[in-house]
Amino acid sequence: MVNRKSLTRRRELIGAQGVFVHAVIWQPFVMLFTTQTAIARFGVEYGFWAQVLAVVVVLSLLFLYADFWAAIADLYWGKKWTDSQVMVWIDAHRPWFLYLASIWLLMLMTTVNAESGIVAVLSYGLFFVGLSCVGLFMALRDGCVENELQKGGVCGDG
Amino acid sequence: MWGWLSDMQHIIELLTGILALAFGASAKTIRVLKGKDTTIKVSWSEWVYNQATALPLGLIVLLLMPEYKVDVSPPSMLGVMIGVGVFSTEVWSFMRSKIPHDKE
Repeated sequence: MVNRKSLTRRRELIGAQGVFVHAVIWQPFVMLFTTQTAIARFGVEYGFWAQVLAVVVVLSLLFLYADFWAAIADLYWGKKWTDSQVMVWIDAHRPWFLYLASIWLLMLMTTVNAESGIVAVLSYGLFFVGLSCVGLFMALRDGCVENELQKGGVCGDG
Repeated sequence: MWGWLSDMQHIIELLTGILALAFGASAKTIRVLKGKDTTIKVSWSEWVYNQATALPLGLIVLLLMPEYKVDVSPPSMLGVMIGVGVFSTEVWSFMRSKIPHDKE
């Protein structure tokens, strides 16, 4: 197994993906360990499913976290962690992990009505919408880089 | 419809619907970009095309849904619109693949 991530790609994983994972991972954890938050935010009919999605999102984010650390180890300490089979698998599924995290953030945005006052509603809504759009953009960008490497396409052509 | 939109809750539902539609319509681009078929080249124009194909069906559902299910909640709206986005782009791409010289 050879991972063909370029140096630029590794820097992106360390920069953007690292920040994204750290910004998001506490949210599903809060939803998981405080059931009253899930019920208060999503009501009894959706609280359970919010927690189920939180489990899936935590797993996805842990994969992305491992990906981030492997990129650091390769780039700075000369390890070959990204060549391992599990990291190649994570590399292949990375856009879906980012996509799931983005849907999670979009779902949190739907509870914006729980805030009181227009400033709180707007800042809460814009924070989650913005962060989810970052995740979606990263998912698209990741596939685009892969497309460039494997298929000879160019990101943003056409 | 404007009466329906006068409620803050309904504006959030509409916003959720539109965003979820964009997310659903992005799923196919991610799948194709990361796919194993190396003959397919994709670009941002493909993504824009997918958004445009999801829009008509998504808007119909968005505008009709509150008529039939008045108490639709934002999480349901999110799920439905992601589904509509994925469904419409997949259906359109299947139909286009049946047209000669326009294979993806």
